[in-house]
Amino acid sequence: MNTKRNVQIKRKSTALFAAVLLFAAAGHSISAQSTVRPSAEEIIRRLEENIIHDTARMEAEMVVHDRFGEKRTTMDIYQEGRVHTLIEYTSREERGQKVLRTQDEVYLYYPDAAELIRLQGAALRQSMLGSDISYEDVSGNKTILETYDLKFLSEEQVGGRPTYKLELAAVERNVAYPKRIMWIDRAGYVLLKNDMYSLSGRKIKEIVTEKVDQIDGAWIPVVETISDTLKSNSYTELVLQEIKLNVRLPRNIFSLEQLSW
Amino acid sequence: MNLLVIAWRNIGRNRRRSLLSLSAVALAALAITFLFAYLEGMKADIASNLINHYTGEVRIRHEKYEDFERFNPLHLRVQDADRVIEILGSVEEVSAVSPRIAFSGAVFKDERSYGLRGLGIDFVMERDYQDLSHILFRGSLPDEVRVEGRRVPAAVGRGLADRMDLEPGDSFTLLATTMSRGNNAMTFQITGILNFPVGSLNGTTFMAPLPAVQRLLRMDGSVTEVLVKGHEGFQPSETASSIAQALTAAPQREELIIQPWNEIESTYNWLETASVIYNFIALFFLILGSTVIINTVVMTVFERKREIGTLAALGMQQREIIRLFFFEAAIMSFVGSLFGVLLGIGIVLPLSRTGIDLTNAMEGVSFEISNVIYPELNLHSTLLVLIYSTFVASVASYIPVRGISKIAPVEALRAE
Repeated sequence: MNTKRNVQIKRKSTALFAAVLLFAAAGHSISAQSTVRPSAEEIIRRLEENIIHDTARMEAEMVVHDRFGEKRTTMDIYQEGRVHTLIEYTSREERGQKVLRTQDEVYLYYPDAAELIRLQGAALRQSMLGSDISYEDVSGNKTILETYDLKFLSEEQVGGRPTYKLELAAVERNVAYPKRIMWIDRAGYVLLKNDMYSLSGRKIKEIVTEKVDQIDGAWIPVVETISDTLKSNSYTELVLQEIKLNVRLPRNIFSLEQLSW
Repeated sequence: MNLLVIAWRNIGRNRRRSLLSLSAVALAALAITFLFAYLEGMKADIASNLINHYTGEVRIRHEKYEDFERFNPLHLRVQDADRVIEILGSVEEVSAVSPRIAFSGAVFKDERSYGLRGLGIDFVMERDYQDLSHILFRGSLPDEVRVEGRRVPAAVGRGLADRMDLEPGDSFTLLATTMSRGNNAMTFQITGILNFPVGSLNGTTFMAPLPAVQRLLRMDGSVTEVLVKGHEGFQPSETASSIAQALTAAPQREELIIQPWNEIESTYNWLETASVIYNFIALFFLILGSTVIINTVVMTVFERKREIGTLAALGMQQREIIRLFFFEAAIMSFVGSLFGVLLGIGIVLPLSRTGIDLTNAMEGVSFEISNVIYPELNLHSTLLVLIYSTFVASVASYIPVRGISKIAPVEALRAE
């Protein structure tokens, strides 16, 4: 009798031990899956989910620092998807001036001028209000995935945050920055640092995110510092002061007729 | 008999050789006459361009403007220009005033961008300062035409009009950086095309009314500079001095710099410095031309050794013999120089009326030199060249003539 019972106990113990082993193995498998790095394409996809929205309305301030001091400009920004952007300057000296971006063109409206200024091609490299941001930086309707080949480089710390470091090489010739290196926050998939290079490999521009906010589930850089390395003694701060996503925008706000209204 | 007369006759004994000698000196003198006349013409041209289009006879600016000029520093300006002009009206030496704003901008047309240089001018005051109608190639000056709507009248340089394919009646919209380093734009309608004498101005410059430019650049009564012309008889430095005294009471006085045009760094200063070098070049040319006379004198002394011995035996002093040969060389130098200078004058005179067209050579050059240079004859390029050439050639000839003192008369008589 005792022998039969011992065998039963032994069988149960063996089964229990096997079950524990199985669970331990499964648990290990699950945790191993959760530390698997996403592909470079996935990282970029999630990054763009953060920055491209159906619509957005923002209030921003741009501070340009140069050899003569600093200049502050405030503006309202309206966006629709990736293609349409309207900037209306609200600071005293620039009041009434507007910038409309649509497809690959940028239109500038100045109340003192009788005609709109249309920027395309090389003219897009003009600096916005003397800042380190060019009109080219705010134009373009293709996604990063459509414009660049991606290569995962490493995982690094930026400002104490773990990031994915990616190298981007342009697939087309007519691109503002043929090469880029991006440091993307691992947790929030937000761009913390972005170095842009010319075809010859010279660094042209650097963008560093100083502060990030979560708005409606999206992580958005709200304070950025932009430096054009071709200019000495110059950098620009861009501060998004108020952000509303997926809001109703006025009708025809992105039309040329409305621009000069 | 007079040594000069004997020397003059001796020159004719070997005409071909004498002609060759004086031709060499004549060529050098001709080249130098032309060179100095051309330089004088260039200096006069640059001075005129500087005074009319760049600096005036006296320029008033913010003292730091020049340090940052390439950055278009509109904030380094002459504030309250009206007050400054009012004060200038009380200065005896001042005959005309031109308040200006010099600025840069860009035009985007037909998928191209063009860099332009703008000048905000008070066209009413400008009539006393310079006669712009002299450089008006086509159309009218901006203050003579009314334009409709938000367009502003402007006159553009001929080269600029060609580059952008613009005619009177066409318009362009210029994007510029304002005084506070923001942006603004304005649409200009072309009323006329100007033919600036300086190629670089022609290719990039347009002129527009000062009040409109102040509005474009948000400059509120300020200008980047005030150019002044003085009455005849006053030196620019005197005028500058008087202006500095008068402006002591003006606001912002300590920030202003008042300079006569010839103290401002420009191509003119460079040319003045280069004049020293050109004098050395002239010296080199003359020495080169003098080598033929030197050779002639050496050969003459050698060939006429027996004659020298004969003259000594007949009682002529050695120093008189030396003087005789020296006079021969000096006469050839003088005649050659005179001929060269006269020929040079003959070439320069017609060119001083027609000018030398350097348009192709000046393309892309940003000096304050006109495309057409008019050489100018003066005392320096004529009489001084004559004296200079004669002197240098004569002195050069003296070296071989001195060798006669080493010839013993007895040995000379034995020479073949």
